[in-house]
Formats: sequence, C-alpha cells, structure tokens
Amino acid sequence: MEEKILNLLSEEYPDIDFTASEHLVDDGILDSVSITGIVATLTMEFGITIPYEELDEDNFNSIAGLARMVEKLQA
Amino acid sequence: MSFLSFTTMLFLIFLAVFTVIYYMTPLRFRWLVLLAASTVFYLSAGIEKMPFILITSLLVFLSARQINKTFDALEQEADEKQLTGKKRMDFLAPVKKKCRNYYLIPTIVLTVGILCYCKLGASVLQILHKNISAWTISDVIIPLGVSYYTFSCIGYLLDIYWRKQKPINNYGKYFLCVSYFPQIVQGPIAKYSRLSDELFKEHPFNFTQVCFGIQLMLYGYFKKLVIADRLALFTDQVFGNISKYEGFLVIIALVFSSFQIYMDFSACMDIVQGMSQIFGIKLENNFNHPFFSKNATEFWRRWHITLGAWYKDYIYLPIVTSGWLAKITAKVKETKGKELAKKVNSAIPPAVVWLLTGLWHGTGWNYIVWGVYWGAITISATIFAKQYRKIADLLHINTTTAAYQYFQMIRTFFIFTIGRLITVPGTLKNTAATIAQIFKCFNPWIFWDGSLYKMGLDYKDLCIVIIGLLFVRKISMLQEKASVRNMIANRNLVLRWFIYYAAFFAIIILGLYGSGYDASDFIYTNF
Repeated sequence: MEEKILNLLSEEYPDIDFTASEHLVDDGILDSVSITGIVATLTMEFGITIPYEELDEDNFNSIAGLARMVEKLQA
Repeated sequence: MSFLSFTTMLFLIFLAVFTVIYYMTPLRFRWLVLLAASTVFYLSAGIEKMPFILITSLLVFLSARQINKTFDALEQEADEKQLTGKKRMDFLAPVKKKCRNYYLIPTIVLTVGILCYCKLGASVLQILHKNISAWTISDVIIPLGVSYYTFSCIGYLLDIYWRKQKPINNYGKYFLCVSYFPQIVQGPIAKYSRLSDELFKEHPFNFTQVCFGIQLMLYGYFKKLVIADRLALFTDQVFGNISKYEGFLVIIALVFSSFQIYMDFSACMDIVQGMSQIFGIKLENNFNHPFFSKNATEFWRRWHITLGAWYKDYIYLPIVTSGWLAKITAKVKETKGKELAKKVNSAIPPAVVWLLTGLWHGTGWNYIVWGVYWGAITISATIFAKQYRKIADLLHINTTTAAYQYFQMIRTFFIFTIGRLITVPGTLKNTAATIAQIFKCFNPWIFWDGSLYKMGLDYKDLCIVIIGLLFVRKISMLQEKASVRNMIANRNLVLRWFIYYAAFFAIIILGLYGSGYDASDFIYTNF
C-alpha cells in the first residue's frame, strides 16, 4: 500500500519529495493546498471517504501514516 | 470603542495596576486576576454589551460538555468491544448524528445568529427606520470583539465534536479564554487548546519577559501613533472628499492606505502580544511581515494568521473532506475527466472560504467583490501552477534572483493595494468614482509643486512617515533573521538604555495625540 500511495502522489506532485521527512505537515512540506489534492487523489483512487477527524498530523506526516489511514478506512 | 482603548493613558494605568496585582497574587490564583481585568475591560466598553459574550460563551460551554458526555459513554462501549477503523466509525455514527443535530448545529446557529444580528442589524434597522421611526440604528448593540470571540467559541465547540479536544469544566476559566482582554479587541483568534495552556500555566515574575513585553508595546505605539495615524490624516482627507482629488494624489492615497492598515494592524498585534508577555503569556503570532510575501497565497499565510488558520481548520478542511465535494468531484471525473475534477476539487474550498472572508470583513457588496478578487487570484495560482511554471521557463525567467524576488514583493503589494481600492472608498459606487478620479488627469507635478503638503500632512510629517516606514522595514528585515529584542538585550547597558529612551521619546515627540487630537481606532476593531 505504501508503495502504491508513494507512486500515486509522486506522480501528482513531482515537486514534493514525500520521502524527505517523517513530518511532512510539521515541516511545512505539505500545506493546505497539497493536503486538498492528496485527499482528492486518495478518495478517487481508493473509493474511500476521508472524514475530517482523520485529517491530523499522524496520518499526513508520512506515506506510512497515509497508508495506515487508507487501510483503516477500507477495512 | 471601549474607553479603555489601548492608546489612552487610562488604559496604561489599568494595565500597570493589574500587572502589580497579578504578580502580588499567588501563582495558582493569577488567572483570577486576568479574569477580573478582562471583565473590567469588557465592562468599560459598556455594560449592555456584556450579556452577549456571556450568553455565547455559556451556550458553547454547556453544549461542549453535553457533546463530550454523550460521546464518552458510547466511546467507552466501543473500547470495551475493541472496535477499530470503519467498524468503530459506524458504531459511533448514531451518537455523532445526535450530537450534531441536538447540540452542535443549534448552538452554532444561535451564536452565528447573534453575530449576524450584530453585524447586519444596523443595515436592517436602517431599512426599517424608513418605515418605523421608533427603530433607530443606535438600538443595535455591537459587543466588543464579537467576531473574534464567536469564531473562537465555534472553534472550541467543533474541536470537542471532532474529538480533538477535551472540554473544560470550569466556566470561569472558559470565560477567561473567550474574553482575555489583550486579544478581545482585534485578535489573535484564540485556539482554545493553545491559549488555555498559556493562561493556566504558572508564570513566575521574569524581569526579561516584562522588559521584552514593554519594548514590543513601545514599538507598537510607535507604528500606530507616529506612522499609521499620520497616514490616516492623508487618506481620510482624500477618500473623504474624493471628488476634489484626482490622478496621482488618489494613487498616493491608495498606497498610503495600504501602509496605514499594515502599520495599524501590526501595531495592535505588537501592543497585544507585548502586554500579554508582561504577564508571561505568549499569544499566537498573528502577523509576520506580509509585505515580504512573494505571492498572494504567502501573503495570507502572513497576514491575520489566526483568522486564516481558523478558516483552514473549521471551513476549508471540513469542505475538503465533505461528502458533497467528493460527489461533485466524482461526477466531474466521470463526465469531464480526471484533470478537470482535480481543478474543481481544488477550487471549491478556497472559493467558499474567500466568500466568507469577504463577508467577515464587511457586509457590503464591495466586501463580496473583495473576497471574489482575492479568491480568483489565489485559486488561479493553485490550479494554473503548472502553466505559470511553463510560462516562466518559456520566457527564460530566472525566478531565483534577488531582482525577481523584489519584483514578486512589489507585485504582492500592488495586488494588496488594488484590494484596498475595492474596500477603502466604502461602496462599489465610490470605488468606481475613485477609479474615475485616478484617470481624470495626469498630474505628476504634484510631486514637486507642494500639493502633497496640503493633504493633512505637511513636509515635516511626510518626512516622519517616510523615515518611519524605512525604519520599520529595516527592523522587519532584521526580525526575519533573528529576535531584535534579543539583539538589544545583548548590547551594553548604555546603548540599551539609549535605545529605550529613544523609542520612548520618539513616541512622545512624534506621536499624534494629546488634547484636541483623538487617536484613530484600530481599523480591525470594527470587525
């Protein structure tokens, strides 16, 4: 799952190095605009609905966090 | 405006008295001193304003507790059943719906209703007054800081509902968070979790912090009384009599109005943060040299930071994750393709936010146009980012040079000033009249024929304004790199005290105040 999400997002955002940090939000690598795009991409790709409660740093700080969130919402 | 306005001597006496009481009180009771000070400050704006803030805060306080209580019971059951992921979400869905329908929505509707009454009441009564003469505009009570505390309360309630925050059980403490006097006038808009940590932490007396706080206040007073209020004389003269002025005089007034609001707002934030620092309480940063921004998006990350953060947390991101946006995106993807779906998905949340931001600043059509204007600029920057990059490549523009970055800053200032053109004249009709006046004649001679010195500011005043602006720019550049107050603290005693005296006397000698002069209200106070 991690690899799939990494490929997906790297293709979408070539300027962002998603592996550069484990604190993508805290380090300011992801802003609200890129988070909007990530939510849209994951929603369209995996057919999930991401509730607002899931928009936290734990989930968006790393690809691993995003993968965990997607798996949780698919379960 | 409160008689305890930040720019009055009475306010400084009030602050000094409560600072002494604060540090004489045992550490764990100090929040009570702040509560008393905030209550006195609020009452000074008029006792009739007090019920509004009391009702809103009490309503939100009780509703938050009830939401938490309702959630707690079922969450405990979910824990016992060891439910996780989607199963847990489904299990909690009915209680979430109950909390939303019984507590969250009614409370938000009521608090926003009070806010709308305060913001729209005058306009509505103006219409009614034509028919029923017994109703006058003065019947509408506008509570001090109504937008700020309403937003803060709604944020707190939503955080409880989204389970991001535990509620507080002491109403006195909650009321202090809502009404904390340094920030009630024009922000920052407090995020409950951060402010409560600061307010209820024990703050022993720290001489350095007190000195730093006073320094920041002095700097704020300098910006307000020496620069902003001087610029106000010029801009009031032009925009108050727009038919008399034309060409470059109007352009200069517009540019001055941009500097005026910048100085006014940043001055208030310095005063607010400084006075709070005297109590050892660190407030959130609300202003971070926005004129250094290279684009509109960055500008709004630096200007009124807490308002932007509020919109992001409570409007923008909830829309991003909303079911209706997902449905629209899916439909566009099906019919028009993935690329357009992504663009629509990126455009809708900021469009809503900008419309609401416009309405927050005012209720006239000019504010809606202002919101659309900023929305169009920031949204186009996002959805056409790739195209803009391609254009820069095609034209071989090196975007890393200092010259290009200066160009970007000037461009941002220009965009901001056009925004001022939409709001400063007061109505769209006046904006059109102002544009007409700008193009009425080409009069560059006003720069040397002395016309500039007949606009409320003489030659000496204009020099003070220009030197003041250059001084603030220099300090801002230093602040971008490091803390200027720390730099001063590391200097020798003689130089340090020379700087303090220089700052103090600059305000005393160059500031606009005293009998016969009424310091302008801070511009953002009226929001």
